[in-house]
Amino acid sequence: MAQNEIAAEGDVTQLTLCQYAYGFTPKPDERARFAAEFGRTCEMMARLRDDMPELEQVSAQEFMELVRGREPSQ
Amino acid sequence: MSTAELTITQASSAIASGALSAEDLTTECLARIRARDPELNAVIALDADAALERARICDRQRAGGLLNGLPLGYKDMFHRLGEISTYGGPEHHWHLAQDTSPIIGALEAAGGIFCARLNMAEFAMGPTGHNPTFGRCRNPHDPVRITGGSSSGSAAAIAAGYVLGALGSDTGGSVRLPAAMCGVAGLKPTQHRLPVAGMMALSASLDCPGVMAHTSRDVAVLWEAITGTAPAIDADGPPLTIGIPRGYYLDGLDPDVSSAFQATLSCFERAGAQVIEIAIPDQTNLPHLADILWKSEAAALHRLKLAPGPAQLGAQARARLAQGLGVQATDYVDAMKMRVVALRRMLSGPLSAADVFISPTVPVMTPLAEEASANAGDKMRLTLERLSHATRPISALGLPALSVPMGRDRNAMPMGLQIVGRPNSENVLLRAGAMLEDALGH
Repeated sequence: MAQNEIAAEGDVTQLTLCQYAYGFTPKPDERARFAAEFGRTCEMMARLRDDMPELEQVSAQEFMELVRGREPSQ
Repeated sequence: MSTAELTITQASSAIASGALSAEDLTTECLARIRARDPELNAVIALDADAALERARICDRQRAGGLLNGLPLGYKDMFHRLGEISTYGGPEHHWHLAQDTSPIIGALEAAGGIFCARLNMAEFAMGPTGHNPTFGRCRNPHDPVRITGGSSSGSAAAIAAGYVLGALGSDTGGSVRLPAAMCGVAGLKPTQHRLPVAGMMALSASLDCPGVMAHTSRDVAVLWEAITGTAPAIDADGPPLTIGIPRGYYLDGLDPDVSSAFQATLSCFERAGAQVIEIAIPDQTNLPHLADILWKSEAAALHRLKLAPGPAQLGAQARARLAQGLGVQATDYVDAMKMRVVALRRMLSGPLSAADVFISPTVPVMTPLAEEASANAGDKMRLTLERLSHATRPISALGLPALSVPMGRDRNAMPMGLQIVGRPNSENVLLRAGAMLEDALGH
């Protein structure tokens, strides 16, 4: 999906969220910033998933073990 | 020596020996607040009468705790039973505390006297020290420049001699940034090491209470009062191995920051440390990864403050919260796991080769307030990204980090050195910080 399509998707998503879930309409500049951020996030997550093939084998709970001092498994 | 320049260590000794009374020290701190805070705006509320009463009690019980009779302050997002916490926001959101932060409780039990609730970014969202409700906190070293944030008042109050130590919180750099820009020491402990009970919540994954004081040794005293464990700063031990990271953390440094950083390397070497170059895994995406986590969590907690009306937050906080509304659940779940992968890589790579690694806390010189936008928009985003370039990845990784002063730039503004270590290595960070301070004569 092209960057502008991703951004447009983000724009619609936030407008829908705010109007229907929270009862207000965001200003145009807020929507534009949100859309840009949404696009950046989609791109970054795609890059990181490619860069982290071990992601499938990771549990989020391991974070607590690591910060408590457990050595990382390879 | 003026009491404005006293460290915790010096003031404690003076009070214990009878050379200084807690009442006189507190009176002088309160006088400095009244004289200078109309300009600096570091204090949201002052509790002068209660502070003086506690000081008199401390004087009667001279053999008190580690912090007996020492004036302290806290970022106005910690709770103290029966008192208001403003969270740096409009009155609609002020919180009447039904509990006391266990960290505040521990510091009071050690004899500390909390005399001031301190300014902060609105709902702890902002790296500059601007605040739409209470006004901008100004840097004691030059009031036209920013303090850094979000624990702006905590760092400014120590630098101005209002208090000898203060509590802040650090979700992406909010202790380390103002510590660096105001020329004090600031510790962000290992994630989840200190309790977040009795403190405004922003992000369950990244919120981290932190402590600030003039020096690393002072931070160590506060740390001991909170945790009951004294960091062995001056104990003999094997020489520290200090890692100098190639790449990300040293990218885009202002020339003055780069020169000061290079000078710290010879300080560490002269002090007996081994300084080595280390390779660091790619950190480029970690700040954004941290954003996915905290913005989602903050939006879940504070989304109702986005709508127009008396409860609506300012433009900067709104812009950042609104982004959290749109993070996909699948991205949030994966970001939590990516954090684990990134931490594994850091621990089995650079932090297995060195005890700590160092970088400038802030890669640029402290900007003028008028240049650092507090509004929404791209300028705010770029300001935030630049200031917190070195701090947000460390928050994402959950590692402990200490910022200590590393000299002055061409504008006579302080700069900070960030020292990062393995989980629960706060004692090592404080040892390295004290080593640098001794070498620099602080």
